Amino acid sequence: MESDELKDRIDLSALDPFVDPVRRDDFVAHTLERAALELARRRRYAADQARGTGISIFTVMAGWARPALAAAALAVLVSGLALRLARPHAEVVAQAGVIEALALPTPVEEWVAEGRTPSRADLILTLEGGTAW
Amino acid sequence: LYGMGDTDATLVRRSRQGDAAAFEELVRRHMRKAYLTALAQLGDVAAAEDVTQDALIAALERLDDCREPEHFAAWLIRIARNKAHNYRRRERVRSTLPLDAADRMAGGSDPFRDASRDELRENLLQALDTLTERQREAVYLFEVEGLRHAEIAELLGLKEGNVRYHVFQARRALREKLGGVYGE
Repeated sequence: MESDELKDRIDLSALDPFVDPVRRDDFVAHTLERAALELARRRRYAADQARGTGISIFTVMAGWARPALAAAALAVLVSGLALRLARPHAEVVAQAGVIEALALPTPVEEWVAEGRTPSRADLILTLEGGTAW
Repeated sequence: LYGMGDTDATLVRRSRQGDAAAFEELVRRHMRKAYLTALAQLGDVAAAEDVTQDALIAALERLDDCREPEHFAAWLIRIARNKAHNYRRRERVRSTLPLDAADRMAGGSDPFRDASRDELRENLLQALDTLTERQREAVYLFEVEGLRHAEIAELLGLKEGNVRYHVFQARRALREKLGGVYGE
């Protein structure tokens, strides 16, 4: 059946602009002209890949991983050292700050600072605003 | 540089690397198939040519998405079909009359501008307009591109029996319409 159809073709060549070789070549040339930018982009990319400099998000991340880790380690070290050096001073400052905030009488400040339990006489004198101290 | 000995898969691979000669061979090898697919939908020679070129450029830009390079032609045809569909929809929205192919063709010596050929083309397009789009695709690829039923089936994603039926129906309808021209 197909062979019969092949022998007895209907001529539709009037609908085929590419029958004309000049027209066909013009079409191809124009298509390649439009494709030139994309082809050039692909050549550049292929050349980059061949040189091993292909740029992808993973490549960029991999490139930054090592310096980022080094910077993070350095930051941890410096922070730890700074905290260790600053801690005793910070405790004193914090303690002093609390006493001042409570506006305690001077003798009481001293009891707190010395960690001493006041005697009955201390308390009476302090409440009366005495100057036993 | 490249010829019929090179498979589509090879040409696609080389084109992905930006090889202009490989892409040119792909264009020459398959442009008529894409054109005929577009023509089947648009019924306008010049518009089908424009759509074909757009489809070829789109195919190059999306070449990395072509999962089966050995079936590049079928993939290109799908792109051409989509482009033609979009073109038709755009034209419908613009509510313009169908483009006059003759007006869009430049050059007085163009054999496509020959008056008798213009008339013949108009007769053919009118006759083909009575067919379904599938029938037009099938008969174009059979008659103009000279493909066999099995090849058309693969390109259009149809069963060979369906293609045989479409070609048969289309040829019969065309012979009835164009009897005077082709003398059955």
